[in-house]
Amino acid sequence: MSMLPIELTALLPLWIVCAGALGLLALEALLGPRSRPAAPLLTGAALFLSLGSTLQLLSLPAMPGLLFSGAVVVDLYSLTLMGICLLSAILACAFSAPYLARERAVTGEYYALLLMAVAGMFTLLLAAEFLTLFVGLELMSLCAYVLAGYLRVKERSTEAALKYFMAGVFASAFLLYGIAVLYGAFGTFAFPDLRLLLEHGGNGMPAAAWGAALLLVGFGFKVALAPFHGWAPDVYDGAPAPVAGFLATGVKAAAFGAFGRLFAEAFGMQGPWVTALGILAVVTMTVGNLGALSQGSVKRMLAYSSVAHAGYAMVGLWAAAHSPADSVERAVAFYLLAYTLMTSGAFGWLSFAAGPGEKDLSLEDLKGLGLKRPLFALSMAVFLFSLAGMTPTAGFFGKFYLFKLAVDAGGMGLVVVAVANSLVSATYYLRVVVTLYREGGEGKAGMLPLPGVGFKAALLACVLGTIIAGFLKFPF
Amino acid sequence: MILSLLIFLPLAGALLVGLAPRDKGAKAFAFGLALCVFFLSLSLLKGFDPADGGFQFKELRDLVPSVGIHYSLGLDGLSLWLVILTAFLTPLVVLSSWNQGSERPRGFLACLLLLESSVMGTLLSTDLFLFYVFWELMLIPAFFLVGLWGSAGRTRATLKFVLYTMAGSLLMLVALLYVVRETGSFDYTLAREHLYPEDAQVWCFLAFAAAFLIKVPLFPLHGWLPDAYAEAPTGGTVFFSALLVKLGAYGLLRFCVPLFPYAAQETAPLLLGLAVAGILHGALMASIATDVKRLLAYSSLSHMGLVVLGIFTFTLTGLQGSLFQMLSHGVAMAGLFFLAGYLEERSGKRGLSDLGGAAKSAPLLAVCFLWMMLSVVGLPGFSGFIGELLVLSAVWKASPALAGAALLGFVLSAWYLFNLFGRLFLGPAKGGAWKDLTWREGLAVLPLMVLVLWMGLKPNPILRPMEKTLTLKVLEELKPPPVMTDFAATHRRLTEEIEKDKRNRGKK
Repeated sequence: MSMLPIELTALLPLWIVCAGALGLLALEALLGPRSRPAAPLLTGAALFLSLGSTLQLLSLPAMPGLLFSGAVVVDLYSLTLMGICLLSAILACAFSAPYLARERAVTGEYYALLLMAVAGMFTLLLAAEFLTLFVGLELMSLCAYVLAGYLRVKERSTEAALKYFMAGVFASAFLLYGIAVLYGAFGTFAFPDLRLLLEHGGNGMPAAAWGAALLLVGFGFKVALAPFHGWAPDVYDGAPAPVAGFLATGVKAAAFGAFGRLFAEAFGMQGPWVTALGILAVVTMTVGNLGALSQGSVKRMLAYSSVAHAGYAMVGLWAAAHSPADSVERAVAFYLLAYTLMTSGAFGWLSFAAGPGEKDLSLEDLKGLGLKRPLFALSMAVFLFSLAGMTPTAGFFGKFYLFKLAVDAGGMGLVVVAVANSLVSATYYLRVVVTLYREGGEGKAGMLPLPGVGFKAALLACVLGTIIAGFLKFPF
Repeated sequence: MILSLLIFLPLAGALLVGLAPRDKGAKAFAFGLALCVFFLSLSLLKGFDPADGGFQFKELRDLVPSVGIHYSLGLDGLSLWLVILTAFLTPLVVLSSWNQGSERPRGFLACLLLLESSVMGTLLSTDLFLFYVFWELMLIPAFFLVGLWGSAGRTRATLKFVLYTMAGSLLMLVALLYVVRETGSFDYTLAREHLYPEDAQVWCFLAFAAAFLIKVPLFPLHGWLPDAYAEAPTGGTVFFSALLVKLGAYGLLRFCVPLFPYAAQETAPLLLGLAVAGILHGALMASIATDVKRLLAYSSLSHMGLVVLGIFTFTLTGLQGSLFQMLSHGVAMAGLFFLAGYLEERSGKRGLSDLGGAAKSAPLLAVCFLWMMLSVVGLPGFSGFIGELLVLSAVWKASPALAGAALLGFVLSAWYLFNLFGRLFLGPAKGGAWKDLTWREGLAVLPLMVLVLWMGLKPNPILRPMEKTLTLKVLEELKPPPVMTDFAATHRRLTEEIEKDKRNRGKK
């Protein structure tokens, strides 16, 4: 392995995913419909290979660092987040296969798009300068737009894609503006260089503030932070459930990770917008939770809940800005992992429970499911407990570590707000669990025979992960 | 080792029972396991040193070293009897629920065992994070117990109970994180020894107390109690009233008072007043209740007020009385709820107007009920009397008015409980002839009856191990509340008398 150039070995996860995507497209082009049954398996294989290579890179004693003359940086942070994105993609793939089969959708480009979105995520996370960041972001977003509208025969799906596209393009415009302003003022795209310039007097310049503000808005759209979250409930609601899961977990995590890297590396976690982080966190949590309270549809409730969870993660980012320890980074990464497991699991569960055509699933429809299919309902109960932050699920541990680090960094008020929000969120999560176990449901929700091994394994992995993740010895 | 076993045996049991293939073996297994845990807890008595006020049977291991969380367990005079009570009641609950959780008994028993495990964990943890995890862990099995196996109004009861408890716990979390930041570690002993600034103490005390007082519950935070107790299955109600509420009082004694003594003293008059208000409120609500379980729930609320009353007198007598009352209340209420549950099973009804004259067909049941009632009412010779006596005498010295009001509550309790007895058991029979106690049901209640009498006649073996811990760990920095006069003298006198008594005993 050491004979190969480092650009190959250090970025192997990315190359594998790209090769997989192109390979799938080639297969589709050459063999046509005959290749479709194999597509999910090939995707899964590519993703697992990529995961393996990421883990192998993580176990290296020394991180490769900057590559391609400063365009990419391979370090613990990017590799960890890449792993989380891969997890999200694997789960999405496993949940998509039976879903697409049931909806009789043409699966030709679906998996290739998924892989390309992952490639975009990797580029985004590995970026050490603005151009790479933008390329990665756009690659990920374009694939995400198409995936959101994949079921073209459904109105809601197309509407979701269009809304996503509009909001996303708008956000990208803001980002580009911000990048342009910063480049114009400082003459560099690279994060480390920008940081140096900012530290040496650059922070006083209005351009720095403008650039940061524009970038904040752009990323705020991408991560669906309030008040830029308006597109999220509609898009997650309209997109096919496994895709919604992918958007809510992988795409969000990647954007969030890049956001964190950007402000840590480029801006050195300083400046007036650190307060902005705190404000964004509070507003996001509150808007997300209050929005979820009034939702009748379970899917929209989950959509608002993912907005709220981004808010909790922002608390972690705020703490990172106020304390030098990199335990905050790890806590945020753990939180994203726990969040991926529980949200992917919840959306995957929904993809099956909502039935053919994925009709709107309301609370009433879920009534009594726990009594008819106890284990199936129990899995959703586990996800909901974890989302509410109840011991001993991973969701609790994630929140606990974040809150502890926030308190250590002096953010008592922030933690009080977060805690109050957790309580409010418990209301709507537990409402669903209670409904699951009520008697008297005549709904046909969740009554389909369970799909194959892949789906069950993915669901089981999510459940087990949610329960055990808090207890594993993380490199904390 | 033994403490870990106490926590993890029930946990393992819960998993095994939940995944068991058949119902019958699972029930016997659960009972056997709970019994083993009880005998294990009894062995604690042998190794316990009453002269040592600190933590015994300590266990320490790293859990999350980078954050400073340890797997740290310990037992002292405060937790000793509560641990034994928990271990004692669990097999009895399993026994009494033999026919109860008739749908999905394995799940029911798994929830019970998980609940026992988390209660043990809460009592034995000396690491703040561990304590919080086990404290919160109680919610999930309780949620399922009420939500799945409860009666008609269970949905609302479950949500109310869980949300109320979570509100308190989350407040406690913030204060806990503050304490951790101040002391730099999750260790309880360090937290206890640290001196906190006075204004911080007040809000920390209130935040911790929020969680604990919701659990106890103290008047006006008791909104979740009547529904939860009434709608829960009998085994669940027993666990709630006999064990979970004790954890609230335990929390007060373990955290609120020792860590924040200034705040405790400042808020003591308020809390004493609320405790008495709770006693009276519970008594009055019980007097007008029309549902057996609800009546008993309010009665339970009323008698727990005595516990809080005892704690905030900050005297050894009051504290010992409070702990004793916890134990006595646990045993007696368990008995009453078991018996009420049997009645409900037989008749399918809980309303007072629907039941009557049971003594004719079920005389044994009637006798047992009367027996347990006498303890709750506080007849001398029964365990309830000791707790009452100790607490009320401690309160009397401080504020005769409060003691008088509390006493009124107990007079009322005699009234409504005897009224209940008369309505249920005497008079013309309604609802047909019922079977008397089966051997299994009787076996569940008999140990409680024996204990209630034994504790009432020989309280000292129970009181003595608590003394040192209470004096050292709780009373150390506390002066009796300012509203109380002449108290230091009484405290001194009582302590001298206890020492003299010990010396006399030693001479014998």
